[in-house]
Amino acid sequence: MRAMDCTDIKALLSGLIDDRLDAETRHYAERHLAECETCRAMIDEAEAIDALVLAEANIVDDAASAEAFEAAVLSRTVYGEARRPNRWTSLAGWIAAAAALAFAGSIWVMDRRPEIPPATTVQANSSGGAVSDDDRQHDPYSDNSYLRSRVRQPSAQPVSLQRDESDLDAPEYEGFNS
Amino acid sequence: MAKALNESKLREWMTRMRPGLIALGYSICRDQHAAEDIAQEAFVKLWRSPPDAGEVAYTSWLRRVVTNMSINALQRTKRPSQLPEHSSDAALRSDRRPDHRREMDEDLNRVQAAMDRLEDGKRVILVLRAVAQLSYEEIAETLNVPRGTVMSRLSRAREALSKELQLDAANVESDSIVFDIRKYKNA
Repeated sequence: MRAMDCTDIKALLSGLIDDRLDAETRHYAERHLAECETCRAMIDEAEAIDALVLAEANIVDDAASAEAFEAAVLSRTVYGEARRPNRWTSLAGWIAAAAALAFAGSIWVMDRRPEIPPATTVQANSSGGAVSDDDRQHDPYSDNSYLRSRVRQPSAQPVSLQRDESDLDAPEYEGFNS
Repeated sequence: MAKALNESKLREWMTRMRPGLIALGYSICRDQHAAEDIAQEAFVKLWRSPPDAGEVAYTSWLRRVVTNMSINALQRTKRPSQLPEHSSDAALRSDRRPDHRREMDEDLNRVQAAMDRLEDGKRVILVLRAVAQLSYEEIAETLNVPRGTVMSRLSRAREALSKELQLDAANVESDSIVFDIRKYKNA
């Protein structure tokens, strides 16, 4: 590497201050700095800039607001969480409520469901053949008791379907035929 | 899972980090109230979702959060060139401190004014390095620029602030800005 001049040092200024140069580059830079007062002053000034920036940042005077600051943070963290219900606990509560509702609904539906009506008399088994005694033995509704209970019993005075001829007479309203 | 932070730990971290975080936020967004809000928000985030690496990572994590939030705040609001509160705060500070501190405050007020005049981009990168003490890699990641760009931008930013201070020093018939640097290093 060739010897460095002031332009090289200026280009490497931040690298020198922040110690970001490799050993060889740093060696040549330091050789130049040992001989050049201007560049040393430039380095001093750049380092001073960082110190000033840091000092300027720290002039913010917040001592009076320290307690208020902590109180504000704690109210949103430690104390805030104690008051706020846990999200998962809340979710579990909703799930439990939904499950209870679904259970109650299913009970209600089951309760209202009519008894399964017995099938009409099976005259043929599933294969289309005649019903055998064996089929009847396994058919819980083979005695037709349900159907018999559902057959409407004849009333004591059956409704006559015979036409009454008087029904066909024209209505007689007063003044109609006049 | 056990909570990583409890109340006493959180208080401890606030005592340790609050001043530095407010200073960092202020350096970037130039608004003390906004800086305090940002620092509060950073602690709330720390409580709710602390970094996986544990307490060893809290310091750099908090600085990163405050830096990012301050940059966002800066981008959202166009800051005034000189906030009225600066001058009144500076006057209050200056009035209630001893003479040697008052002299430093006057110097720092000049730096503050110079920082206010600096372009946002230049001021932010200076603050990231000098106040947040981020590495070049972290600065590159925060500003979303190539790592190689950081060094040249930092050089330009230091040079720009130096020029602003020299300009100011010329106005008040002061010496070079180097004159009072050492007392800040020892302050």
